[in-house]
Amino acid sequence: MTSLTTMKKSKKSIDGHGIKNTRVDELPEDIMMLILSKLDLVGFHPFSAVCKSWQSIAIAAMKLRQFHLQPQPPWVLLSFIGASSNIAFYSFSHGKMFRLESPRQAYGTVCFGSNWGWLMMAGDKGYTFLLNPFTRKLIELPPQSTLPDYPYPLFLIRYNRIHKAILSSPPVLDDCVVIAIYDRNFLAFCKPGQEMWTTFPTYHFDLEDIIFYHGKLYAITKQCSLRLVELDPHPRITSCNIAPPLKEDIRHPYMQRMSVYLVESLGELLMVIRYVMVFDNVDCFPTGMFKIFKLDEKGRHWNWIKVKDLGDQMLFIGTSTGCSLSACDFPGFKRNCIYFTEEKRFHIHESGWKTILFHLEDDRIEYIKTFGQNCDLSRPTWFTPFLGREGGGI
Amino acid sequence: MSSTKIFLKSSDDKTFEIDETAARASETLKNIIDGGCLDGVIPLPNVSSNILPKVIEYCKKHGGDNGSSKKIANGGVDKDKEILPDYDEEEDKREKVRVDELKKWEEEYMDFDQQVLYDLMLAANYLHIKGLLDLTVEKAASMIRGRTPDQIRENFNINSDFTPEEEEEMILIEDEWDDEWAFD
Repeated sequence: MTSLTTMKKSKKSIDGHGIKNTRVDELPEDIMMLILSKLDLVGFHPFSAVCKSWQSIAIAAMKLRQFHLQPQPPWVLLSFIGASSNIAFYSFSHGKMFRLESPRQAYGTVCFGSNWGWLMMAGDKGYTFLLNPFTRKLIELPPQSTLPDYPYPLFLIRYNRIHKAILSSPPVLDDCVVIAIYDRNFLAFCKPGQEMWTTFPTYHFDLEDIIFYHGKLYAITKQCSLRLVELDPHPRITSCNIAPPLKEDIRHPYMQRMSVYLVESLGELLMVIRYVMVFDNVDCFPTGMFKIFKLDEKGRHWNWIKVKDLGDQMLFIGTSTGCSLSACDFPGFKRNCIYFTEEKRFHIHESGWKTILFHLEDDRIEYIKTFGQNCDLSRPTWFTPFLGREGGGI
Repeated sequence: MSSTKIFLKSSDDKTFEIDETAARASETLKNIIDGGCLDGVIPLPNVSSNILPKVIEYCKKHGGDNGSSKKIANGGVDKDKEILPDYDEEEDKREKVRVDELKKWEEEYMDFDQQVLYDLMLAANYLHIKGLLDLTVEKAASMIRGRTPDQIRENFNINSDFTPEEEEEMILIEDEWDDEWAFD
């Protein structure tokens, strides 16, 4: 290793017995990488900011397929509306907020999806892009004005039409495809760098979520109908013909089914149904409970089976692609729970965005953190920092 | 159990004695022993006499046990409870005491000058003593975790060779403010 590290003092490197002591800049690269691998992303950054040789070690490590930092539970992404501002993140495991200098194009944008450590963002006039907030790499997607039947004059395009999107793989890889639910009822896809979105011919009512599961793409509707989505040879959406779970097991008079999410957990496909409490005097409804079902693929006819217990797993659900992690790996996190970033702000006098912890064992909602009570924030979302050869694109 | 003595010669030509069982904690030494090329003294041209006794001390403690501390690190005790039908609570307690004792020993063992750390790391790497390498690498990582680049430079006695502008661009800023933030 040719090292550029300079020593503060010319510390005596020969001791009294004529034995040469090793200096930190003489440590071989593989040992330095071993040290780096004991850190998480929050440690990775100061490491690479120490000096040029440490930085080059960090960059080299990230290019190695076998190199991994310590795993990181999702952070909460906070982006500020209208402000010439940065993106900020809250890490529950550090109990701290982190701020990242983001490229100018990302100012005041909203996030409509996140996986593989990338954010899918929409800004003014339908400008749509992918952003890796850690490397600050930005990849443009076709503008939303290329989605069909834009209902508004172009100069009025200020809002984001994409409800949710997913990346098939990190966008640094050639075969990456972005699949998006737009205007709630339609699907479109594109490859990063293309100029137009490709749309699906058919209309589907109330699409809620999309996921890659065992190499296939599935979408779910608000009515809990699972659809198989194929891009090749022709874009096509077909029903999986699975009966939706019965609604009758909710006895609470105010509970109403609100949204549906798909998550892969320990190799199984889960459907998470979110119920809200409907009151007459408010127009947005707080989350009341969740129900989880898993896809039973054993028989000839697939079924949804009720999941009463997630064991040590915890689910992270929101705008980003849902994820399931073992609480054993992350001290301070609760097992058998759903972490959820609330979809709406309720009550004018209580304007922040709430983060919910839903305990499956007793159907209990716990509010764990409120964001942006004093500033204009778009909906917070989970973001799992992911660096490395497949994701970082360093 | 064999108590054959093995002799190790440091880079500065000093000879140290170690039990064969202890020496087997090092993958490199184990291969030399098993390879039957044992010819009196094993020369270690990469390990000096101020580090070798420290390495031997570690091997003595760990020779013969094969990664038992790994089992504990995974919190494996509870899982074993489910897997093993003849789970023994007493055994579990003894294991816990042993682990606590080992942790205390490691703490004392790792209490040394930073100068020793790099040499010990290199020796552990060269001799393939995984446990010792882990321990030293972890100590170095703990000197980085939760610190700013400046504090890390201080800890490792390194000067920054970035320009002030480049340092500005180092992008992760830890913020003290919480909900009270305001952006310009």
